[in-house]
Amino acid sequence: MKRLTLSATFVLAGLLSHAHAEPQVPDAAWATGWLDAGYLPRHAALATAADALASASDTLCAHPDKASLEKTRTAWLQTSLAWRSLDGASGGPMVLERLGRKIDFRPTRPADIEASLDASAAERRDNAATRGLAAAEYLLWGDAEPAAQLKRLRDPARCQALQAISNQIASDVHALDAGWQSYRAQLGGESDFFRQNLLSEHINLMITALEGLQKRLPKDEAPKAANYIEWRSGSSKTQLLAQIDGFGNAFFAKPGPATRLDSALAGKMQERFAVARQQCSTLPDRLETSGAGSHSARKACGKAIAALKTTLQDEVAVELDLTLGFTEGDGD
Amino acid sequence: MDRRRFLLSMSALALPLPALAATGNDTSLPRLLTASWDEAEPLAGLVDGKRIALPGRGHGIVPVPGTTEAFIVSRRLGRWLARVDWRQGQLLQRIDAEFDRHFFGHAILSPDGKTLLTTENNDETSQGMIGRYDARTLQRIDELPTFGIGPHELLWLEPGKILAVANGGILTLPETGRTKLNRGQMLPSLVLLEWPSGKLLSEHVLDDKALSIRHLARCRDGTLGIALQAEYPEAAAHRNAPLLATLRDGVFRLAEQPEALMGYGASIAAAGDEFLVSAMRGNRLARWRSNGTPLPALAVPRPAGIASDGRQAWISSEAGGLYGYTPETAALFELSGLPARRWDNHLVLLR
Repeated sequence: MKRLTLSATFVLAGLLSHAHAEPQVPDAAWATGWLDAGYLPRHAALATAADALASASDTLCAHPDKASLEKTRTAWLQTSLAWRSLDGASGGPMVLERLGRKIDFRPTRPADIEASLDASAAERRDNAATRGLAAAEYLLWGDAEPAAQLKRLRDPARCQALQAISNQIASDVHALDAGWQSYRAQLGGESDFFRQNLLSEHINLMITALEGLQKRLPKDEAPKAANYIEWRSGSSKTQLLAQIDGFGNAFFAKPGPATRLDSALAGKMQERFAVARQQCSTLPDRLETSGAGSHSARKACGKAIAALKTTLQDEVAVELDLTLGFTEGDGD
Repeated sequence: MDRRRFLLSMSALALPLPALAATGNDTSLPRLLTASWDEAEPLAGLVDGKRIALPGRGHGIVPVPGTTEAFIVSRRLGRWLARVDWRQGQLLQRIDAEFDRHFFGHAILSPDGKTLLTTENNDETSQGMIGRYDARTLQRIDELPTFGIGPHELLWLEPGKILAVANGGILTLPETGRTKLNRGQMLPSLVLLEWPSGKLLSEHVLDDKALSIRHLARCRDGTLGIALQAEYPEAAAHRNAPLLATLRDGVFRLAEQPEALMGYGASIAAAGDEFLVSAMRGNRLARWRSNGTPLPALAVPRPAGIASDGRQAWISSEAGGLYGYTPETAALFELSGLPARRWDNHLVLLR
């Protein structure tokens, strides 16, 4: 019921806004083409990775050894990166179904996770903090103590919790397989009301994703490791880059928003994206332990992302005649 | 646009600048607290005092009477609540939002100063909540529903007994950041709650559900003024969107207004028998009599926060300026010699 509330409101936003049709409504071929090129491959990659994580977790619990733990960690990383890519430009059913809440609830709550080890699978599912990638990351790495985890995961209850969480992630992702196809059918349908807000909704979500990227970079000169989101697995830099790439995959898809822009503005976006990608690539690989050593690189990365976001919200949105939601620049 | 360019553009349009050059006004600066922001550095503090670095962009500020402390609430999707010492320029305490809750930027103290009330979101159900905290320790006590979505500002109508809540009606969730998820089906409302039971006493809604009910002020005759922010799909529709509603003698209605205020009331205050709303996107300080009769709006570049002592008001500008305003003479005057920062939407007078 709670889920339906959001679904109804989000969909109805599209329906009711139909009365205020804007002139730049994409046609069915363009809308489905964008979904095919910019979104569905990222969903498919996440589904594949999540299946691999579930399988690796099963194996780990059947044979809890160093090799199977490493395979599970690798599978977790691939799943998390695929998720970050999808979250870099979200939309459609993943927003309606609140996939982010289901599989990437943050911040991690170790006490809740520990307390849930003896809970039933249903109880664990009901608590956003004891399911999803953050909970799995904690079970696989602890508090950035990878060497200590194999022994702990030999406890059947602990490993079964990991197994259940991993399988639930796969299940949550696959639950959207039909949703994406349904969304595609709606975008390609005769009536254009699902296309009315397509660009507006998706560009707003891209702006949100870029803001999220900026928040991934601690502003302190010498932040603690725990100030980074994926500090336990030490994957903060690759996660950040995956999210940038996810944005790029959607925005520069063909067809995609960039193809609807004046060539100069499309070029400016391409250039700003490349600069952001390049600047963020210079972050230390072990970002979490870089301390003050990464301060200037973090600032440069954040500045480049801000420039990309500014162009998106101040120029692209204007050219595409989109109404923006709360931007970072808005008050409230 | 900087202030000089703004003033030149106003001159070119032959728009009234009634009192920017007025004389005889009290240009001394009272103690004003506010937040400011840019991409790199969210700050708060006295406008002319020590800066306090914040964990993120701050919004509403609640001074603690009789002390040099204040609470600062993080903006929508807010994760933190801070206690600061504005005289020392120090952040004294920070707490994070409760599990599965986030802050909406505003708070208010109970009349006895013992309890801090914050507007929050239940991230699971999307329902608006009021969080209750021990003002001394910031320990969370409990929460009560606001009977709406996206609650924003709170105001005591009868101290300790009747609390007004502006339910903005806009759905935002952590996983989608500041993206508005229910445009086209917003559910804004003004509710009055019995305190401390939290019982719903009355709910007031406007016919136009795209008008988000956000900020509250009360005139000395008891009229409640509500500043609105329009959320139409078409940008052009915001030009003449209403900025003020009033609740007077139990009647909730929109006020008439001058043209081109552009539909975004950043904040509201009452001074004399006037309501003042900062029409940030219309570059005007909008004014009404407490009965809803519109008065000529005054030109101010990107007006943001408004503070009032009941007789005089002070206005901050997102473009960096600070202004004083005297209702008796409709005099608006710029306060010079102050740092020019990008002031946030709220300005608080320390008494």
